[in-house]
Amino acid sequence: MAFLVNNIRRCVCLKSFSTPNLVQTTSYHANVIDHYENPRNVGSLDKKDKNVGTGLVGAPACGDVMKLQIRVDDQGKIIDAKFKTFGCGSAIASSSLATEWVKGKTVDEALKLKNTDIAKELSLPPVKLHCSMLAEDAIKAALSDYRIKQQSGEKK
Amino acid sequence: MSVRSLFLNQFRKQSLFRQIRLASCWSCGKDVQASSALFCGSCNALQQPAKGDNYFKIMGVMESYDLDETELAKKYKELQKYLHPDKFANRQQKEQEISEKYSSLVNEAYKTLLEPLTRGIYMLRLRGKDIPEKTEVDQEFLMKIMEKNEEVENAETEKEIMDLNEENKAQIKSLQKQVSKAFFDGDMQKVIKLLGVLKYYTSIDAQIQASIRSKGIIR
Repeated sequence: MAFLVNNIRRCVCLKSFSTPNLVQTTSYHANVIDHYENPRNVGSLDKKDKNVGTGLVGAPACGDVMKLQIRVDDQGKIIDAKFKTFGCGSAIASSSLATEWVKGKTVDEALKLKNTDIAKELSLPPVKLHCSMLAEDAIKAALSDYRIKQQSGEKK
Repeated sequence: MSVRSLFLNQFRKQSLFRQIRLASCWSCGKDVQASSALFCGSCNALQQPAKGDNYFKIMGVMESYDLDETELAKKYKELQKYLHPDKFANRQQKEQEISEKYSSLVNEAYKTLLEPLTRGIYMLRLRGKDIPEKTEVDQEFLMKIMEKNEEVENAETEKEIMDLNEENKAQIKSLQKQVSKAFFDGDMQKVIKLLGVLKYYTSIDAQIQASIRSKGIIR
């Protein structure tokens, strides 16, 4: 993760260079930096485990990729969550926060998680909203992957 | 498009052309001979950049995705030789202001056109299009990108990282060629798709370069 710190200023998300001649002075909010420097739940879960749902999403406008995985127990509660993100500080912070928030929630509760909540918690500026959107999509993709796995398991 | 609007467009273009041609110097009021002239022919005052000129025009290079990067760099240095605010320290304030504005515009234009990715996106925007912000879900492709990122992250030795660097550069180059062809064919959907892919590989490139720096590899 250490080398990612060097990248914090490099996320030239495509939105931000539509304003030429403006020196970018926007700095990250303390919450973003906290999640960025001490990301929670980085890692992977066993993709083949039927209790694990994997969401893999990307942002073509940013070149960010995000993998978010959840482990669900038999009661439908999310007991573990891991993520791995290659992208800017906001994308890393969004996915880190997302894993923290889904832990302990049921699958249905997790579905209700909105990108606006993530953006609010991290005080993301408008040009970075899509980073939180990516995290929401990653959760949705992981939940849907889990559902599909469970349904195909029942059929067998 | 109707004949009328075609005519109107043509008319507008022409009148715009005339305006530029007849642009008069803000300082002495005399006509500036050519719209592309940086300085007034009579009083030698620095002129404002022509309104509505795109980055290609500002830099004085041909508007094409396959622009010659050496030529662009040459033009850039040449322009800054005349425009840099340092050259205007003893001139009147208005000229200093124009120089600051013009010089930073040239910087921005140069930076944008130099990189194949930003150049492509800029050209796309000139055509009123943009890379959508929607989320990518092509699993196979994303897996590939994720794995490549992980390979870079886990590369330990100089050879590993340099091999990845070479491979990635080749990938970018091949994408660049495809983008160029898509622009040539006028297939904007394809351009959008390809630039999206190029963005992922450019991000990987940034990771590789950061890793090369942090490992202290000297080339």
